[in-house]
Amino acid sequence: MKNLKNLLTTPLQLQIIPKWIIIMLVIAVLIGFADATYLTVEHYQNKIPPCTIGGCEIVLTGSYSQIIGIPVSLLGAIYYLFILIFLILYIDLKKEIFLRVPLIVSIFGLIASIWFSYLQIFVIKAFCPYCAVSAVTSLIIFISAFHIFSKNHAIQRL
Amino acid sequence: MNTKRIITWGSFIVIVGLIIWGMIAANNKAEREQAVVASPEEITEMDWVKGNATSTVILMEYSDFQCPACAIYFPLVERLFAESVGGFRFVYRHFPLSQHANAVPAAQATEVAGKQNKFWEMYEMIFTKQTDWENSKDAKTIFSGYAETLGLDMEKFVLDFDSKEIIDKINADQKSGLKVGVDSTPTFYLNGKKISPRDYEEFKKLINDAITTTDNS
Repeated sequence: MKNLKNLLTTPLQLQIIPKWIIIMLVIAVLIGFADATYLTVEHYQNKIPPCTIGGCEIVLTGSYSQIIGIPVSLLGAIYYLFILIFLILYIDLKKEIFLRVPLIVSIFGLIASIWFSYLQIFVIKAFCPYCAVSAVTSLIIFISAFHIFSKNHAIQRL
Repeated sequence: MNTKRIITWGSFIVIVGLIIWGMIAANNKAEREQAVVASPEEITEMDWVKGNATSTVILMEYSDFQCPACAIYFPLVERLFAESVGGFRFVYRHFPLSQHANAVPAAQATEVAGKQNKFWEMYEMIFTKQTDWENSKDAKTIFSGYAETLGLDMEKFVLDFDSKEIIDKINADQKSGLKVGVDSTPTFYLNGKKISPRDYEEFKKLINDAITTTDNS
């Protein structure tokens, strides 16, 4: 636990972070944002969702699709936008904190994705490709974050 | 003011704006524009057809009795019969989806009733009472109750229910849908062209336009 705390609180050595990883993060976040926005728009357009092979409509309209009345897709869009704003702040100001915060937050994104994937496979037993896209983008964001933190940690220990 | 900074934030705002705009447009497009798909097979003697037998306007539906959207469209189709100018022929084909455990038994119940000339009566009962049986662990018993209400020969109903003939008919309907790319229910074809009306008025206009065009030609 202490190790994890050290890992997350140690300032990042910005010079060791390759540019490609930031570009990859931005692309993954943009894809996730577009995906979540599409579903949010669909939700608020309030049309009758047809039933599809695979059962996406059960996932998107069922009881797990909202948290206290807020569609999960909207929470997803806010999550991706939040990370994107921090990444842009980082690109603009090159302040370490603007990179560390979204990377830590990405853990919650991953946990949420694992939870919703579990619900789809074992509880709802239906598959929604839009949610799978989001699960992949949040996984990419998390792996990038993990990579940055562990690389940073290894350097700190030298 | 730093140019690089303006470009960074400017691109951010433009890209986020474009994504939101694009996703709204994509949603509207998905509703309006119909993908060019093959027309389903024409009416066969196996099909359930009702409406104006002399009309050349044919509305075909691929549907799943357990799909909530199909149950919402059911009264719309009924209303169209009453309110369209001159009438049309309506064809119902089964397209039960795997996530709906009671969709196949429901289709079986209608087919079996059909063997006793009560297909459309059972069809109506099953759609109007969808919420009564959709989550039932024993929907077959509920359908048997409907069969009794409709005055069917119960011995025959039970005997035919799981027969190969009935199952084959449902599978054949589904296969014909899969062949032309049906991937959701309800899917409507008007004279072989896929349509996706979002509400009753739009539906009625499509039907009436088709009737008027056919009459004039």
